[in-house]
Amino acid sequence: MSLAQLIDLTKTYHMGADIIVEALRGVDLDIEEGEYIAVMGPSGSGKSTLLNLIGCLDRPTGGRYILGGQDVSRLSDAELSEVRGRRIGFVFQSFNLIPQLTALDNIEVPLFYQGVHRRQRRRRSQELADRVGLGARARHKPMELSGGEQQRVAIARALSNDPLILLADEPTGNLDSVTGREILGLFDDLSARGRTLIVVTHDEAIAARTHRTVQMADGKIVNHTSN
Amino acid sequence: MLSFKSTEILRLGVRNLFVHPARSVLTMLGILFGVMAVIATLAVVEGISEKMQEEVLRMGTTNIIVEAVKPTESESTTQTQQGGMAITYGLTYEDAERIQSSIQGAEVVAPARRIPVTARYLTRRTRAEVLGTVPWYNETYGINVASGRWLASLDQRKVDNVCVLGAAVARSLFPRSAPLGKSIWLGSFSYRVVGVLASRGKTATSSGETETDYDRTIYIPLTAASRRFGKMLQDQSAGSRSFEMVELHEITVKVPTAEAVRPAARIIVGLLEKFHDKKDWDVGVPLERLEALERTKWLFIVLGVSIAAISLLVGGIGIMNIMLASVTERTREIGIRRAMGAKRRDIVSQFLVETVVLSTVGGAIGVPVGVTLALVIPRLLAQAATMLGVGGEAALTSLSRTIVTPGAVVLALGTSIMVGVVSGVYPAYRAAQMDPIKALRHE
Repeated sequence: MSLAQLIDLTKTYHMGADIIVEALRGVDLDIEEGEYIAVMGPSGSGKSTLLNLIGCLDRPTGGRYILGGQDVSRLSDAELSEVRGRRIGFVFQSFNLIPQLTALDNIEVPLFYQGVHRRQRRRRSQELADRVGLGARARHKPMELSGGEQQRVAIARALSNDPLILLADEPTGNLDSVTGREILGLFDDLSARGRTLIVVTHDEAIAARTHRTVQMADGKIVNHTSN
Repeated sequence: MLSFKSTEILRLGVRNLFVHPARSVLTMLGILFGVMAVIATLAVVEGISEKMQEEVLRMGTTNIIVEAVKPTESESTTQTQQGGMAITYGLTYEDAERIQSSIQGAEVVAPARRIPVTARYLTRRTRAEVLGTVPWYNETYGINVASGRWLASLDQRKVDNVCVLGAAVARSLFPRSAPLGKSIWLGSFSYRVVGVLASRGKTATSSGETETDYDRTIYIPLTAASRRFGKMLQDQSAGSRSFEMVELHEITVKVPTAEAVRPAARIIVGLLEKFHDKKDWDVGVPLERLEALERTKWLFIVLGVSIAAISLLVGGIGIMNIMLASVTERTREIGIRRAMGAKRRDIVSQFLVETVVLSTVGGAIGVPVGVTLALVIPRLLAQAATMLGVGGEAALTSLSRTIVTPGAVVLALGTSIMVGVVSGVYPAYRAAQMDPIKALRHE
């Protein structure tokens, strides 16, 4: 059985009185364990909506979403939070670190809401900081870190809860090309160790590194390509 | 696990407050001043009320005080030989006897006359009031003798010219020497000092209209008072020559229990109504005044606390204002936390903890500040009174003491915590209701 299954997933937004936006119009997607998938498509094609649904930040209007054997398409807000906290890791284009927390504290945020003990959290965050190559910079606050370092913190944070799926939305979008390549190297590394990754990107070069590319347009998947 | 998480959230809240220390401190000040005001107000009210209570208690809760009152109508006025006007009114020895025989279990009936005099010792003079009374008067009122002795039955029988001085009178007449055994002049007779009383302070009479200074009173045997001062009193205040004929100014009745006070008072009123054709008397029951005082005290507490509560309200509005700004400012953080698995109630707790910590710490600092303020209020008022040159006397005696009760501290602290909760609920709710997707994109 696949790790995640999207079955005829739809999402419509009501903007004002009678403007209805159909962001997703029946998406079917199977995600296998250990897969590295790139999602591509022009803006407005539904990439972000798809990512939000996979990340359990939102509920689909129609269809089903099975994640790790659990139907999560009709869960309550609190249950969805729980699923996010335990099974999903997010990496954002703009890093989204909490400014007043140190790198280590940022890495621990998902564990905090899991009720993991402080000492255990610290051990895990230190281990992850080392793994993403932060080293001594881990005690600094985001403002004192470079973009590349910040994104490493974000990746470490996304890994802290050992998620089923790591979702990355344009992870190199705010980085220079050299740093971007370093981050992508980190992704390759994670993939090689069997981590399931989904990356939303505009960049063909990134897509080329993944196992397969999902091409979206007008709220639908229009093409699957194995790389 | 829940309690573990709560301590973690508490830690997080406190840490967040340190992100903007100046802002946190300023917000806290609102609560601090509110709590301070509540505590100081309650301390003042408590102080005044206890002072008044003591005064009433000094009159004795099992006492009934019957006083002579000068009637308003002038029908009792008669022409005197001297050509002035004389008014006959007040209580009589017959009244005292009637009361004594009508009330079962009346322990003591202490009649007394009050005569304003100028007391003299050598060249020193002082204004005082002579109170002619019976030897058991001191038991009725719980009067304490500081040195020497109280009036004795023998003094009464022998119509001796002896006197017991109130503390203030003794101080004025004998600033450096011991008064015992010395003779002072009251009018045209000299009296030997046999005792000096312990200081009691000012008190209100049962009618509550005039103030009698116990410490400025000179006690002499009632028999001596009648003999030496007669039944006629010259009215000092009036310019015209008018005279007052008063046999007794005061009859104090002591009953054995508080329960017996009211029935006894009713009997006394009945007797006086029957035998006096004009209303030249007043029956005062200290117990009733005590109860009335209790009600008045609550009125003052409600009033004072309401005023103080306004500053707490303002403090609460301040907290809410800051928290709403903070929630908007931290929209992104909220989105991040939600994405990382924070539930709505985690977000609620996070912000609520911040407001509650702010208000609690503000309150906790406000308590000692309020207590300190309560302690210095009497001194500040004394200084203000002397600086303004006003007769601070009256204000000072009622504000000479402030009392901080544990109840006031609990009330103030409890209210401040409540203010934190109430002012935090709405901002926290707003934070929790944010859509995580929109919050994440917030710039």
